[in-house]
Amino acid sequence: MSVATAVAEQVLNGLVVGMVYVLLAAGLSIIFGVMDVINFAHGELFALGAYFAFAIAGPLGGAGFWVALVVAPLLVGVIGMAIERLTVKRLYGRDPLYHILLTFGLVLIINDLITSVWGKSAQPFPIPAALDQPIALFGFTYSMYNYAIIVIGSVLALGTWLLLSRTQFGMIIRAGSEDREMVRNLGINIDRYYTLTFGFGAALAGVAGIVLGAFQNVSPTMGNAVIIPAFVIVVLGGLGSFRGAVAGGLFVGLVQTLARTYTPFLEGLIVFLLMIVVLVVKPTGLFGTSIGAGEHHDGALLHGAGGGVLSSETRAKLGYAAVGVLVLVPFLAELTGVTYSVTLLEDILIWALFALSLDLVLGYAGLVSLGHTLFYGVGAYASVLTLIHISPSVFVALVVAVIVCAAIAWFVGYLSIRVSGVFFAMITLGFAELFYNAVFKFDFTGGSDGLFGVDVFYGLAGLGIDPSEFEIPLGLFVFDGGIVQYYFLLAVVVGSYLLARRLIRAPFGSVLQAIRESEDRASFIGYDVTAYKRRAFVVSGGLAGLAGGLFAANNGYVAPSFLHWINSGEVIVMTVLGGMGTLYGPMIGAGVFVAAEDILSSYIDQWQLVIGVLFVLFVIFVPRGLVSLPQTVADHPTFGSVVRDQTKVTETEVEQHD
Amino acid sequence: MTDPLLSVRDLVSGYGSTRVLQGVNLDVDKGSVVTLIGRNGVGKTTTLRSILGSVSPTSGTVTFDGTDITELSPEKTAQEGIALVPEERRVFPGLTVRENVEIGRIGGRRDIEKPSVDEIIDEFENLARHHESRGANLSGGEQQMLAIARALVSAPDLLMLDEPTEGLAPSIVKQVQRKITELNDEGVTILLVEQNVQVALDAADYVYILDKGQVVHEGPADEVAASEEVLDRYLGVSLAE
Amino acid sequence: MTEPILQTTNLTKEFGKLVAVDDVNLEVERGEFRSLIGPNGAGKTTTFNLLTGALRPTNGTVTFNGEDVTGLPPHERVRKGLGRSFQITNIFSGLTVRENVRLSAQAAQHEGFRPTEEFLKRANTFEEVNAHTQRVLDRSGLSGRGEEVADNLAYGDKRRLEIAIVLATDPDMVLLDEPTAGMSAEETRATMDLIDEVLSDRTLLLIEHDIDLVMRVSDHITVLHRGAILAEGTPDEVSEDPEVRRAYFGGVEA
Repeated sequence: MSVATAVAEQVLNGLVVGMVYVLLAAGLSIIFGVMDVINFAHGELFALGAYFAFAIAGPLGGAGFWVALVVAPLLVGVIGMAIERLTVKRLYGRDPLYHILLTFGLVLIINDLITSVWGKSAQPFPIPAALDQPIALFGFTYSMYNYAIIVIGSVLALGTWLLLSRTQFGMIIRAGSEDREMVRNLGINIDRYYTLTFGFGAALAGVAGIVLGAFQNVSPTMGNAVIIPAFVIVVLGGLGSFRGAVAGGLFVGLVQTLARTYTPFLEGLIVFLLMIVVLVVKPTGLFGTSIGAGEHHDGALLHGAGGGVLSSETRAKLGYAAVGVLVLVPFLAELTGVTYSVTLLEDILIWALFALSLDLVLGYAGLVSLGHTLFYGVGAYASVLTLIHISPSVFVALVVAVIVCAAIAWFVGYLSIRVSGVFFAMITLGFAELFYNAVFKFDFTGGSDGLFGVDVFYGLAGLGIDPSEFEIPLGLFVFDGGIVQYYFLLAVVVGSYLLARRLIRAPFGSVLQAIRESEDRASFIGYDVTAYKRRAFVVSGGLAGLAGGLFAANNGYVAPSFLHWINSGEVIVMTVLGGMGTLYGPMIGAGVFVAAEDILSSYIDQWQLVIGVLFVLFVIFVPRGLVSLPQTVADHPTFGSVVRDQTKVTETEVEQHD
Repeated sequence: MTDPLLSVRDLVSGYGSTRVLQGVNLDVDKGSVVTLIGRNGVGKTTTLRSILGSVSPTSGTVTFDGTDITELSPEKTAQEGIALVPEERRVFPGLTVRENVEIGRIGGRRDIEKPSVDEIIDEFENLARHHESRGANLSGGEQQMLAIARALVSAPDLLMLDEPTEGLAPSIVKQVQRKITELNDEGVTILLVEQNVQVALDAADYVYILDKGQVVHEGPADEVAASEEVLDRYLGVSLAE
Repeated sequence: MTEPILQTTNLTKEFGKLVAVDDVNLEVERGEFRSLIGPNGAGKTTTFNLLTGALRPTNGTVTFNGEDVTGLPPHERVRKGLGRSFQITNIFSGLTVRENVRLSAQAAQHEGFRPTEEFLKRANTFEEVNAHTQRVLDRSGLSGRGEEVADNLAYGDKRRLEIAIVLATDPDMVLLDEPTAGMSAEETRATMDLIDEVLSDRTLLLIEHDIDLVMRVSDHITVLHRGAILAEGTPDEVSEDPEVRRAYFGGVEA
């Protein structure tokens, strides 16, 4: 094979992948452009398309593929419309964050449905026999199916362009993305068009899923694998721009394919580097205009309302009680033999710290960090590397983790805090993905295996406790090194919470609260809003790094999965679930989430589905989180009176005691 | 006497905790041109927005053609036959002139014959010339004409114009003025909000003067124009020769 | 004659082809009450934004207290003594009245905090800040309401708090952006009385549509038209100016 044909083949391969991306990103971009919805579930709709086709084509045999190619996308479109009607629609007018949260919940639901119906393993999805052969064109042979993908993709992209530019539907969609209020003023029910648009975008994703499914195979992780590249494309091309989605899709497909062949090291890195550069230099993307992407939002982030029913004394007492229980748990565990509970609590404590760190930026500085696992993961890597190469001391390792993460946070913040809202979210996501892909590439990070088998020492300069040699008999109990680990973790997490609370009550935190209430006003009484946000981001990065470092030190390993975007999503879920902007709310959220996950997963296979449904209901009905539940209940017309009466009694009692 | 086409009673309305309208009363008779004059910030635009439904009134009623439309959403109000030419025109910048008019034709009442897009565009000579240009590329005057065309194509029973002459050169103001008279001659009922007192008085049959969210004076346009006291007191202008 | 407290030289702002502010030379004397009026689209808001630092001029300079502040962002201008109020009440509505004022008082002093103080000391234990907060609360008639959550205040008291927040930054000069927009005649009077009561010892620049109001309260009036200064003078001088009448009410033949 000559060099020219080799290159041509790579280019064609790139176009094949690119076409799939185009179909995927076009829907994503149109949905964002028209409704300002960042649809994380788009990847799952893509997977759903593939599975529907798989289910349809299998029994039908021969012509089944073609039937599936028509029917499956329609089904996905109907599901998309249902999703819009039942969930997304309820959140219009709120901050776009809530759509991210909602659709993240939908990811869990759809993904779990897929695995429960079709199983966890990848399955072959044969391409039709007629296309399953090479064909010689322009002097070299190439897979006919790949040509078919390029043709199908081109036809659909062209069709979409015609739909948008030449039809009444498209005209209303375009007008709506420019000025939806004016469309309403003309007497046009734009809501109906939103539903149709969502369905249409979902159907395009469905087609993309089918053609890629037959190209590779169908697997429950396929949605997860494409959603981030799809976001990169949409960002590169310009949020909301169809032309941008087409150009970006082909471009990313080509770059990825060519990089894989010619510069394997850069594969997986280069697109994220590009994404970050584009976001920093021209946040509206290569084809984006300020129109559409720049539309302002009336909705604000909704914070947990911790006050109200529970007085601060009550909350403080509950806090002491919680810490007290946590201190006693190892004894209870020894007594009852449920030692597993300690392991679960360690998990909870670490996630609680991670959620606490996110709350400082999300709840107080109003910054939606979509890539917060960057700090968690880097903290874990930094501490394991320190333990291996520098010192077995956990203290040293954690200090290094915090410093490294704070420094990275400073750098990321320096580049990105100027750009606001969605762009900031995308930049943080880009950085997290960059690091995620990078750790696979290096030997010193252990590649895809990560690093493991680390020995730790709780002390400095030889003075301290080595958990592997630690054993202490205490009455009936004999405690091993695990106990040191647990109490150390508890102390660090409680200490971090107290520190965070201190920060929030100090002038620094009071300014963050002012910024949260009104950024403009804070600036016009003389505060450098950007500098404050950046500082909050640095503190937050440091604390997230501490959480990651603790996990790595406790478990003695680190792996690339620490940097996976799912973690970023989960920690946002915990933060909002608990009630952001309260510090303790997100920690409670982490506890509930991790415990629910643990308990549910031991009883039912579809635990993700349950958590997803619960979370979606929370986002829609209790956006202020768990900590606002007492208030929500108190405000409820029927339940409320009971609670209110009881509270009154308690308050009177308190007064009498005083 | 027949009932007015549009009747606003004791309308109280505003944004958040700010009450902009503090009990507005006004009537628009079929076939007439009624103008709402007043300085900036007295609630003229809010009155139009409250009639349309993009601001929900706190209290009071809006009756249109015998139907209570107080609580209707903007799209439902528009489907009753009220078209708005909004402040700052708000043509769709990425849509062509033709598309801007086409989308207007989709809106409005469902149960009537509407003029064709071509008919409407031909009525505006500077639009006919640029019918493939995008809204963003038109001059201010052309955008204003386009916004009027977009409203007219739905064959509305009531046309509401919000500051149609704002920011336009004097010669263009004259054109807009002529267009308003022309439309009224064709039988279109018009509710006009205007800051330019001269334009407002010239075009109108009947005038309401708004101040601090209330109607402080009303009367036939020629009476208001003749009353130096009214002009001086409420508007601080004099039309004396 | 003393040096003006605020001065603009050839101040120009273009948005694409549109010249919103066209070569404006404005001089405001220390201690005066100046108003900037003009019809819609005259460039008042753009001028205001150029003065506060929300926008950067295409050309020209802004000098405040003898110092060129053209390149400074809003928060630094505030620290130099150039305060502003908002047209729509813009307070920290979820915080208490005292905290609203305290934040503003803290802004004036937080540069001097040591890092340990800035990050670890309780914000409400800085004595100077607290004393200043209390003075401002007393002066603006809000001392009885300190512990109320700002959002629960009546509309008039919110305006009062808005002014108190400005006062707490201890400005030499305050830019007032249509402080009475959307108010009834009564509320307008109350607000202007309040401004007079609380801010009378500062230099004031009022951006306003309402001519009556402007005539009543100003020492001097600057009339903007199509981005440029059309006339300037005492209320009497300006109201007699035929050019002003024509421009402000458009098309009226005198």
